[in-house]
Parts: sequence; structure tokens; C-alpha cells
Amino acid sequence: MSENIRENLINLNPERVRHRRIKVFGLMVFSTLLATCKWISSIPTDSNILTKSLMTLLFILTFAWIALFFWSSIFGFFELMGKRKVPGIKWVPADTPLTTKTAILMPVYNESSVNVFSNLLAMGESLAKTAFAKHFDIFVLSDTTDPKVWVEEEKTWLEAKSMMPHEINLYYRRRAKNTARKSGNIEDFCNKWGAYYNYMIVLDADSLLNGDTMVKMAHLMQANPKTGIIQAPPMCLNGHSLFARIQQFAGKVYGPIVSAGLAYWQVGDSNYWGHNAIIRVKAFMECCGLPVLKGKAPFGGHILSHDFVEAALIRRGGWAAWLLPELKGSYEECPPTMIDFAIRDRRWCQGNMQHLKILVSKGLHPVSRVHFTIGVMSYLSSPIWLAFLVVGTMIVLGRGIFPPVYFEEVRTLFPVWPIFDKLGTIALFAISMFMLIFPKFLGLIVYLRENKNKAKIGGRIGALKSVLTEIVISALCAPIMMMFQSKFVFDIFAGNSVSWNTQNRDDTGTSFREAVLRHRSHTLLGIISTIVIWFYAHSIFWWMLPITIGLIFSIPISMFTSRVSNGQWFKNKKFFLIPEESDMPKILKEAKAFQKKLEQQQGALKGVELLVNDSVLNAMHIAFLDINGPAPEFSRDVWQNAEIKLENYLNYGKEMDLSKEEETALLYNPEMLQQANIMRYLKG
Amino acid sequence: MVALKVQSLDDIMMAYFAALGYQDKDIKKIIPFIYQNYEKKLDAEKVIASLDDILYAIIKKYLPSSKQSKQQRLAYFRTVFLLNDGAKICGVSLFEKGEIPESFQAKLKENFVQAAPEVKFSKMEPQKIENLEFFNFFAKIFNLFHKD
Repeated sequence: MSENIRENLINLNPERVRHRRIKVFGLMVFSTLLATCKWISSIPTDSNILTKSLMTLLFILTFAWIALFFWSSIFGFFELMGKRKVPGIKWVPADTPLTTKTAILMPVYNESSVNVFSNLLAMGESLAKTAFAKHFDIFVLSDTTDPKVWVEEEKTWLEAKSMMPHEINLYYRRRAKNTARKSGNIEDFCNKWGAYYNYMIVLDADSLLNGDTMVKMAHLMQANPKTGIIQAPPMCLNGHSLFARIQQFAGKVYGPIVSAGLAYWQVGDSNYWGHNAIIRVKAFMECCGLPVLKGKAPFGGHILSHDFVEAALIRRGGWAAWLLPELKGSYEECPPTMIDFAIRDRRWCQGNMQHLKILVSKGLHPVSRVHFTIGVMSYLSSPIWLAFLVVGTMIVLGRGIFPPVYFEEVRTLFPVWPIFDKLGTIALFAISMFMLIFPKFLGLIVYLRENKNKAKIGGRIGALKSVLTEIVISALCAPIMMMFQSKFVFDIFAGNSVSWNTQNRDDTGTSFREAVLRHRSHTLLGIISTIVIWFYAHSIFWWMLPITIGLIFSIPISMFTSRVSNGQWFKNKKFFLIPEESDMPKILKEAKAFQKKLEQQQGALKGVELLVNDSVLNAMHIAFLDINGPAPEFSRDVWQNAEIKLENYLNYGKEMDLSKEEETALLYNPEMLQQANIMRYLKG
Repeated sequence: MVALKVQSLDDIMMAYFAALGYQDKDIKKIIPFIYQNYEKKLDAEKVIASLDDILYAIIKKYLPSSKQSKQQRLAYFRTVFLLNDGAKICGVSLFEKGEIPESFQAKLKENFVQAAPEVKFSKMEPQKIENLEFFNFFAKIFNLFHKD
């Protein structure tokens, strides 16, 4: 362990920090131990040692996982009820002068530029209302590969720039080659402009942060010079589909105790979630240059989930990392459908599995290793749970097909009764359910206490029925997600890598075709297992029903929850209401207003065609080209086709119909673009 | 280069200045002036490049200092010129006298369409991520299944 790690980076007695960790992890270990003892005694006595060991191992892994979050939430609950702030970080008054400069970074990849810039404009407006706007610059760091989106980004940047408060610079740069994805994008910023800034606030394409929250973050950084990262927990907002509304309700009600619980034991060794966080540029540049991992993807290559690694490296370098639930006004959007959620999970899953390699690397703080383990377990827990169910079912099936031997070969007076502690198993099941569900009610208590105006949350009854309904729906969705995640894990271990796709943020809903495509195997598995269990393992039929029913109805569940109309119906019936829905935060209102303004300025022309017809954008695009870096190489065929199509468009008014590659090639040719634009002014 | 239907030199010049936002009556004054003063610089094969050279020679003293190439600086000028109605403000005198009014000079210096600040290079070095000795054994086993 390096000297830096031993150094106390925070204003808190290390003993106090240790006690907090001993309490949470001690209780986790203790409760797992007790439950495991009960479990061992509950396994049928005639099971062989291998089955017993396997079932016990799977039980420990599953139960420990539940226990950690249970105890973490319990402590989080008491922290929130006691209205205690995370200790060890120095807070300063809101009017403290800022002497530092912060870059707000918005990395984008083929996103809707209208949404991206309207969010930034709202943040700019919000910042302008503080006295510190001039201490912030905004950078849109584009890794966009779609040529039409590229041009649209430039156009929207120009429009947004004229709407942005004058104290704030709004910059835009696009990388020609998106090496190492988001982490490479941020690194490129640091290498080129990092020297100008003390801190950077990293966002996601759907992030929204209040101006005063950003100022508070910069103040905290300034007042705590040994701090490397401060994470403001983002709250899900602006969801319309039923799935998104349930997620945002769950985030609003249960999120605070989860965050407070994590902050309780993590203190200054917290994690970074990749966005809605402020980072000290010096610390980041010193510690967070990410290596390319040995070997091929999915385990080797560029690090995908860079956030955890950066937090671990910054901590290794002797800087503190904080998760501060006290920082409100930090928002993001939830995936609108279960399928979108799963697609995002596939990416995150690979990133987290890659952490298996980093988890055991030298010099990391033990808490950083815990973060990696939690990340890995959030996905590994699914195949573990699946394996647990499969092994359990197999044992019962085996018993159905091969009945117990009551009289062994050695003659005995009495039969050997296999002992199965049914009550013990039920008790364990009840305890597990309690540990999963009870924190939700603790979250509800805090939620009801925090929201004095009960009408905004649908009343006490509305909140309670929402929690109960959320429990039912999440129970139905859990086996489907288990199947998704188990497949992802198996895929990754089989060496299949994931491609980089833009996250869907639209409320279009899941079509029947897509639902069948994604869930047919779940449905089939659900039907087959139900039939098999009914005939050969009838004793566990009702126990398995919550799982099999979710799988059988995965198609309708996925489609039903994806609909905005269903989200609206539940909203009208006062289900899943959060105060931000009835009283929309000002920043979101402004983002929507800017979105309307920017949408009005969107024309029918896109890509090269727009640049050929718009002299301002044409000139501006050419002026920006060298900031993008050297142009990629294109084949002769691509050039020739692009040129012919452009000539036909200019000379004969034919549709351009350029391929993505041809259009990109033209966008990298300033001479041709300028000439084409001038030719639009030819008369006759 | 894009092959176009045959055009006269005058037509291309007219299109060039029209693309800068000039009206016909102004263009009719600018073109003779260009012929008169810059005839040797006009390359009939590369009319647009020639006109760019002429324009750049006039405006470069007004542009903010930058490490950008001539092409980019010209494109920057054209953007500011078009956005701020430069053809109206500067008029024909931009070519005739090589002058730009102070109000427009200020616009050029304002850097409104600056995409990003001047690059100030620094370098993030990749950090070492090495396995703990204890785990190297497991890593070797793991790598047996995932060969490079």
C-alpha cells in the first residue's frame, strides 16, 4: 500500500472511519454467517457433499450481496433521519469567492444535438443566476461518427452560442477518431485544454445540474484541496413511459437511503459514476491516464467502465473521492424501456467484468477493491442466482425421478429418513425477502418526512400503493433481468465484445416484433420450466411461480411498461408520483423551453446538403476542421462516388444519396465544400 | 475538384462574392476592380483559390493571431463576415481600399465563433495497472482460456 493511501486526506479521525466500516461489514458477515448455518442445516440430509457445497457457496454469495445493501441502507436511513451530513469534508458559505476556473464537459456520441444543447443552455442560464458564471466554461466534446449528426451539432452549437449567457464560453470540438471512447474523449480534452482549468464537471448527454449545485461543487473543491472527485448522486427525471416512471420513483424514494448508506461507510474513499461529478484536473491528469489492458476485448483492450477505475487511481494517487448525497439538483434520465435498460446493462456489464482484472492490481485502496467487487457482483449475482435456482430445482427433480432410499444396503432396523427443514427454508426465504423489501419502506418513511406537501406525491396512500406496486412490478421484471444479465456474463466470458451504440432516450415504446425478438427465449424457458416443475417437482411449483410467471409474460411486461400511455395512466391514478413531476424543477422547464426554440430552427436539410446550401455553416465547418484532428483515410472509390454524387446534385439537382462514408469524406474536404457552396450562387 | 457545367470566369467570380453576401450592384463594382488590380493573380483554372488568396492578403492583418492554417483563418473570416452582415458593413471598400470598419474589426477579434481555446498541450501518462503477485498465478490460468 502506498504512503499516499495511509495519509489521512479528510478531516475525520481514521478510527471513526474504521468503526463505520466495521459496523456495516461486520453486520453483513455476521448475518450471512447466521443465515448460512441455518441454510446448511436446511439442505436435505441425503444430498451429496458436492451438491451441499455448491448450494452453500451459491447461498453465501447471494445472501452476502443482499446483506451488504440491507445494512448499508439501514445506516443510510439513520443518517438521513438524523439529518447528518457526510463527515470529513469542509463546507463553505455560498458567497465564498471562487478563485478557480471549471470546465463543464459534455461528451456526446451521435446524440440528439437539440437535447444536448438545450440542457446546456438551461445549465448556463442557471449558472448565470449565481454570481460565479464567469468561472465556468462549457465544452461539448463530440465523438460523433454520423456525418449528419456532426453537421447538426455544429449548427445547433452556433444557435446555442447566441442564446448562452455571455459570461459563459460554449465550446465545441469533434474528434476525428474516437479512441478509448468517453475516457479517451476526456483525456483528449485534458491534454489539449486541461492546463487552463482547475476542475472539470463531467456530464452525460442527458445530465442536468443546477447552477448553484455546480458552484457548490467548485466551492467544495476549493475548500478541500486534497479532494480529487466529488460525485453528486443524480436523480432520474423526465421519464414518461411506465418503466422510466417506476425507475425514477424508485430512485427518488429508495435512492437517498442507498446513497446515504454508501456515503456512510465510504466517506472519503467513494466512487465515481462517470457523470454529474466534479474532478480536480491536476489530480486526474496525474493519476488517471488509463492504460490499454493486455489481451483482447472483452477483458483486454481499452477500459470500458472507466469511472470506477479513475476513482480507484485517483484514490491510489493520494486524493480523496466523495459521494455527497447532500448535493441536490443533479439529474439524469432513465432508459425508457426494459430493452433499452438491458442494452445499457450489456455495456456496463462488460465494463464491470473487465474490472476483474483491475480488482487485483497493486496499490489500490481496499475500499476501491470493494467498489470493483460491488460492480462485478451487480452482474455476477444474476448468473449466481440463476445457478442457485437451477441447482435447487435439479435437486428436487432428482428426488422426483430417483426417490430417496429409505433402506440402504446395510440392513438396519429403521428407515433412513431424509431430513428436509421446510420451516427453516421458509424462514430463510422470509428473511431474504425482508432484507430486500424492508429498506424500501425505510426509504418511504424518509420520503414522506421530506415531502411536506403530500399532494405532490399523490398523498400518503398514493406513495404507499406506489411502493407496493413497484415491489410487484420489480419482482416480475427481476427474473427477466436475471436472464438478460446472465446471458451478458456468459457472452463476455465466451469472448464476445460489445459495440458502441448510442443510448436510446426516445419514448417510442417497444414494438411487438422487438419484444418477441428479445424475450422469446425468456418466454420459452418460462413455459418449459413451469411444465417440468408442475409434473416433476410439484412441491416447489408455487415457490417458483414468481420467477416463471415473470419469464412467461416477459413479452407483454416489456411492452406494457414501455408505453408512455401506461405511464400516463398510472400518473393519473396517482401512482409513482414524485414532486418533480407535479412541480417540475426550474432547470428542466428551461431545458424544455430551449428545446422548443432549437427545434424550431431545425430545417429539412442535413449533412453535406445543408453545408452546400448554407454559407455560414459551410464556412464555420471548414474553420473548425483542424480542431478535429487529422482526417481519416478514405478509399479512392469512396472519393470518386462522393464526387460524382455531389456533381450530379449541383449540376442536375439529383438527390445526393451519399453513404455514411462518402458523406464523411466530403465533410473532410474543405476545398470541395467551399466550391460546392459557391456554385449554388451561379446564375443560369 | 467538382466538375461543373462550363462557366465563365465572371460567373464564378459573381458566385464567389454572392456567397460572401454581396448584392449584384456591389459585385459589379468589385469584379472590374479585381481585374484591374489583381489580373496577374487570377488563375482561370483555380478561380476560387485565386480569389481566396486575394481576399486573404487584404484581411489577414485584421484577423486575431492564431496558429491556424490560411484556409481555416479565411473560413473563420467568412463565418464572421456572413454572420454580421459584413458585405453591408464593409461594402466595396473592403476590396477597393483594403479597409474594414472598426466595428467589424471588433467583431473579428470577439472570437464569437471560436470553437475552442488555443490548444495548450500537456500529457496524461498511462498509469501502471499491475496484478498483485499473489494473483499472477490466477491470471496465468485465466489467460489460458483467453489467449491474445
